[in-house]
Amino acid sequence: MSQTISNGLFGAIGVTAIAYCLAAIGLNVHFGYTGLLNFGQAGFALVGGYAVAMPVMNWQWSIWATIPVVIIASSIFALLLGIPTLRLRSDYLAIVTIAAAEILRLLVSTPKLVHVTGATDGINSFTNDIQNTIPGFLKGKSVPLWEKQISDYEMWVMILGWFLVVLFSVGVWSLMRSPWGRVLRSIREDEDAARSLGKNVFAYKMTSLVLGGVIGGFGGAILVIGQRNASPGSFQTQFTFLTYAIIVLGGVGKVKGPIVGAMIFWFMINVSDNLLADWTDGSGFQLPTWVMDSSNFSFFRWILVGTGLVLLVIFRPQGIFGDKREQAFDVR
Amino acid sequence: MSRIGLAAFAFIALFSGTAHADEETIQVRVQHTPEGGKKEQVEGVEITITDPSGSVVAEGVTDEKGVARLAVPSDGSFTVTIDPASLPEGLGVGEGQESRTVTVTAGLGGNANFNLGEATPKAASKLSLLPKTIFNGIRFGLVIAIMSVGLSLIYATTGLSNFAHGETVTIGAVMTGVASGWFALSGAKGGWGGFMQLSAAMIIGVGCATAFSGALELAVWRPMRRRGIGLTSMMIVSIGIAMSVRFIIQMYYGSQPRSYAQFGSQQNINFGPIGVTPRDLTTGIVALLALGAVGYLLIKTRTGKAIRAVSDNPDLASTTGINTERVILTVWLLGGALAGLGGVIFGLDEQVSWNMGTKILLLMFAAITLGGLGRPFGALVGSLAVGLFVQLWAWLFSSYTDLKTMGALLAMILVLLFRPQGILGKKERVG
Repeated sequence: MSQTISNGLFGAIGVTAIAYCLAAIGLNVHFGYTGLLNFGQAGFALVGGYAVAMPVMNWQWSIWATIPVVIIASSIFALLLGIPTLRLRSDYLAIVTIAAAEILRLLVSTPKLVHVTGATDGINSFTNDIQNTIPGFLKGKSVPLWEKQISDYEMWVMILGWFLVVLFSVGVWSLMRSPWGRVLRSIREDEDAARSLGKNVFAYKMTSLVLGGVIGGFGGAILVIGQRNASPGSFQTQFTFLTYAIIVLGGVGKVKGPIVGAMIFWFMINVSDNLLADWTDGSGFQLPTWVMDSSNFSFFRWILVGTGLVLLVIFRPQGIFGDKREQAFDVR
Repeated sequence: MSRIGLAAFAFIALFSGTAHADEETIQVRVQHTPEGGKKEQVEGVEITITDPSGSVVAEGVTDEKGVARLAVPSDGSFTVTIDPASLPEGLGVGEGQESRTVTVTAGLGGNANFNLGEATPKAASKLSLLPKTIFNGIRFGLVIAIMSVGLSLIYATTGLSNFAHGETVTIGAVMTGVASGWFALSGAKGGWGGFMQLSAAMIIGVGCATAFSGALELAVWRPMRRRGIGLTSMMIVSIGIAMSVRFIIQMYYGSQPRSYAQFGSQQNINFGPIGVTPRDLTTGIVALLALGAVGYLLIKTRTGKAIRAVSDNPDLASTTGINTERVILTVWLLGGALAGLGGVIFGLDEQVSWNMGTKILLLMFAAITLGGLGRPFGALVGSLAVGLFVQLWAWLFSSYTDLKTMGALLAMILVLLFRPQGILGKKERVG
């Protein structure tokens, strides 16, 4: 049991949670503050992830030199998506973003580009620079988290990742308190009203799309660095939907929403996975095999996520700790 | 060509007459044994001999005895190649068999014997595949159309982009598969028996899809509308439902794609340049009939008029005495049935898998966006465009067929740039 809890705790603060948290911070800028229905956050994360992995593998760049590439590539992707859709009704943005994310995923999966993108196996061994910069006090040690041991590499990526989470959260918090952020929220509440006050709604939406996209790009970058592998399988449409689940869980349109949401989300995923594995492994308490067995219990977490998302949106749209009065949903 | 080859042969023959002493000869024999017949010599086959560095040292053509004697400058190993294009009609040489290495021993020369087989059918030229490609595109378009008419009607009447529509498709296909498995226990594979079994199974599968769609409307969407929950929330709820249902199917149906038990391989029936299996022909006709019925329903019947009235303006429709809630339920049931039917046909075309609906959902959205969001006949036009585009992409870029879905999605984005209301959409302010 303590093993399960410590795995859950590791899930809550681990690299995957950080990556999804960053993607959710970006999506929160789009959906929570501006009311943009971006269904292609997986695409932004993919751009960020491959912007790190490809230059290192193909042109032997230092991994640190790819940071501007992440920013530039995600911004370009945002511009490409925004130009045709931001003047249209919000469902058009939803469909175009989900399609664009899928286009990118198909493109990096194609065997024809195997020497550039690694096709479905993806790119490995681009993380030497991270490995080599592990600070002395961590090097070669493993950090215990109750019963779970965290390796020095994981710990170092986690430190970098949480630094980014704090950086972007503080950035978003102060931006949203600024006049600029108030215009964004007014666009979310009533686009025509903002327009009638002389605000260039298109430009504000575009800036928001770029900002959130870049943050999502860093989410993808942390994800591939943490997994030491950049492959299309990490960036399926599912990625976007999980990110939505996270911000709904933590509270849409709130700075702490993505952080709280990602931690609770991955804690629950890890705990339920561990429990179900325990209940189907053939010893101790067992679930009936017609319910699930050791071959199919791993799908149950997604059923849980889907059902949870439905119940949350219907019965508690403000999220777990949210305040119903400032619920930022369905205001377009 | 063969004239030049003969000339070259003559030249080499002449040359060999005045050759130096260390010159050797390779005897090439080309023959063919028809099935159950006598060995035949093949005349007029063009032969090229190259040395290990790849430069041509001799060329020639076989005589009426199927033999060519060609001189090479020294002993050693050479590569003898016959030109498949010079073989007589109906004869061919296997893949990689058209050249072989011959070792020439000083004073003895070398031998190379080629035994030809029946020609494998030549890969059809690209242009001749075009009619078939267009036919396949239209057929695929019809399948997408059946599924997406419901998606489009639901969008038109309720404003909801229903992400769970893909799962309705999967349920139709999977339940048909399960039912066909029960029936298959009583024997009969292929033929009329199989057809009847599959039809019965299809009724069960389509029934399940209809029930699923209707149940969602009654249990989820109608209460949500009553509570005044907005469309964005409903869209996210539909994503959650899609996810749960998809993985429930994966848990209990399995991750392995399967075919229907009555699925047999069939011979093509040829209509000019287009060969089509009876199965594909039948499903194509079924799809056409279903779409025709939907068109008739929408244009001619009272229900259809009510549906169109609600899609134009729900408030106005309800003030004229139309029971909006009942119309919406009808649309969900109809959409579910059509999606289930589309799933069965798609499952026959490819295979039945737990995520088939999710895979086709994006193409469905692309189709209704292309045709004009909320226009029922736009879904048909958009689907045909998507179907054709997918197949034409595979035809045009035959080495990039894995990207054919990408092509259709890209086309949708481009159309939105220049005609955001879609092909059939009304010109209106959409932003």
